[in-house]
Amino acid sequence: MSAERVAFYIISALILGGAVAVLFSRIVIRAVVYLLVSLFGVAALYILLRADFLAAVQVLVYIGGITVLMVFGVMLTGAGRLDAPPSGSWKAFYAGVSSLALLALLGIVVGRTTWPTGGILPEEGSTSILGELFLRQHVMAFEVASVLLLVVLVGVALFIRLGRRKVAV
Amino acid sequence: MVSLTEYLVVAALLFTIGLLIVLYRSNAILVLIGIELMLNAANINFVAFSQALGGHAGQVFAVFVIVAAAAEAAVAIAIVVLLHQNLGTIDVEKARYLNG
Amino acid sequence: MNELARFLPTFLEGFNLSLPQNLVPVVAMFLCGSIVAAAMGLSAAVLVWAERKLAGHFQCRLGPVYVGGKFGWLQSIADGIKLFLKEDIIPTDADRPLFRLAPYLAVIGVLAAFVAFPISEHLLVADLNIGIFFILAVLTVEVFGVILAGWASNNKWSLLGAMRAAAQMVSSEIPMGLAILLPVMTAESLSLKTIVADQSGGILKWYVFQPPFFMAVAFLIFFVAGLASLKRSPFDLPEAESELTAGFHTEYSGMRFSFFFMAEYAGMLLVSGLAALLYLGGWHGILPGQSGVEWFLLKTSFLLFVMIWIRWTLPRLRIDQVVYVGWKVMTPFALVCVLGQAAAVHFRGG
Repeated sequence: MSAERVAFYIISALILGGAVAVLFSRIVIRAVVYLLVSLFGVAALYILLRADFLAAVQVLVYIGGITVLMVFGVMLTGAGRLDAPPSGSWKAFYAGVSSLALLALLGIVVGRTTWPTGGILPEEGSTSILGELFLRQHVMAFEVASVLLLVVLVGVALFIRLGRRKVAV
Repeated sequence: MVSLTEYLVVAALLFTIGLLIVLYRSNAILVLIGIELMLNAANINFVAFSQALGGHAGQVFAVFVIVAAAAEAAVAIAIVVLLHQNLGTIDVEKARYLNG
Repeated sequence: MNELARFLPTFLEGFNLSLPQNLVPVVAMFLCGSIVAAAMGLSAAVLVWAERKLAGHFQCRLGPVYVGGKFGWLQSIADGIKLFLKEDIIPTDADRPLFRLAPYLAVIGVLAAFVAFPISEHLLVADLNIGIFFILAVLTVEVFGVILAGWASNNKWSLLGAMRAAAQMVSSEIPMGLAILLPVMTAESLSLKTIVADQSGGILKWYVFQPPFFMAVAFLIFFVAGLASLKRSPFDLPEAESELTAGFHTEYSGMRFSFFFMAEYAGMLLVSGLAALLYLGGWHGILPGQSGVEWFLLKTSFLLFVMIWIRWTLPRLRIDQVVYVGWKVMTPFALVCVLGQAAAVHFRGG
């Protein structure tokens, strides 16, 4: 087995193990830590796929942004204590059946299709190529993404302010 | 050399677990985590295809997905905090005021 | 001698250790890691001693004088031994696994950043293609460790400290990232080595002294935001002793506490080193043609001195003031600087 393959299996085990741990975790903040493990694994997978820029973006946005935001959410809502998953309900059954059906479907698609092979990315980094792509070919999408972020920024601030005044109950 | 199929299998499994979390757990923050996992599974696919096809379009798409995920997380956390302020709980099963 | 990451495997092969061929990179990786960690431990010890000595003189007293003879230079070693031997206490109500994990996350984030950190033209672990971006990314892990520590301690002061750390980090990281964009734009590279190479040729080539002077403003913003992200005074709200006991590390003792301590001092080294590399010409000297590690060390130590000076001079801000400075002062200024420098680079004939 090559070193790449060993790394791939270890990383995949981390990703999937973290995700399964989230599913069964009883404490929300620990679920966020398991998510962190999973996200780190995904970043490592990007490095394996020679997308080093994307790996850095993944760490910066997910670990520096989204998980910190989630911990913040947990702290503000006091949801960090015990929160057991529902047991023995029909919900678990329906969720399991529909997820397994989806997994079977995806398995069939992945197994039956002949996937393209042979394309190899150049060894040197992808950053400058990505920069060119963002600012030439995909500049429209790039600008739309920035508008989206601006809308979210203003929207969330407004949302919190309006939501505080009206109490639903 | 790890083949494309293996990456696709990992992504499919991750997506399924994410879906299971969204459907099974009722804590709003855990539901959000499930959605993030599903988005990550999609991203693994994009980057794996980008490698297999020898281009960078997949990576560009993945960056946009990450941007959308960040925006979505900010809105979702705001909703969770408001849910907590208005209902005193963040159990998504209990927020059913639009439920006729 | 070249990059450590490339040099070490050849170095190891020279020893004829009869290692299996595919284990050599792994062993080299561990060696790189241990070298970085040992160097950081040592410089943290020196920094702690320097800070105490300087604090003493700023306050018209002596600072440590007894341990190790004349200047008390063994004081931090003695403190280190004391921290090693102390009992490791975990509060009963703490979230034990997370409480244990948090200090490691904090210290790993900072140490990993040094992988892409060049000390001179030839002395660096690895010249990463995404250089400075990698450093920014792994530094965020440290903040997660701090927040986790505050939560897992199950103590109201720790929690308040962690909340402050999160708010402060978010508001300081954005101006910092924007300020870093200016040197990156000018050098047209993310690699720190290329950015420094672009500043060769005397003091007037350093980015701080480049004519439309947007980068001088960016340097100030970077330094202030860096202080805030390090939780250094006057932004030391997450651990404000007089209000929060010790903030996020109230419940930590012994070795676990010293990990946070080390993360802070390694972070100081990182921010002042980065400021020297990005804006002050790195290892290039004042006159054209001068270059060497000593210049880099000189600039870094000067910035460290300024940090210590600020700590013992300025009073602590309030949290709303910190957030105000981050969002309403530094971010708009940094945005203007980015636009101005972009115009400057464009009209330079790029």
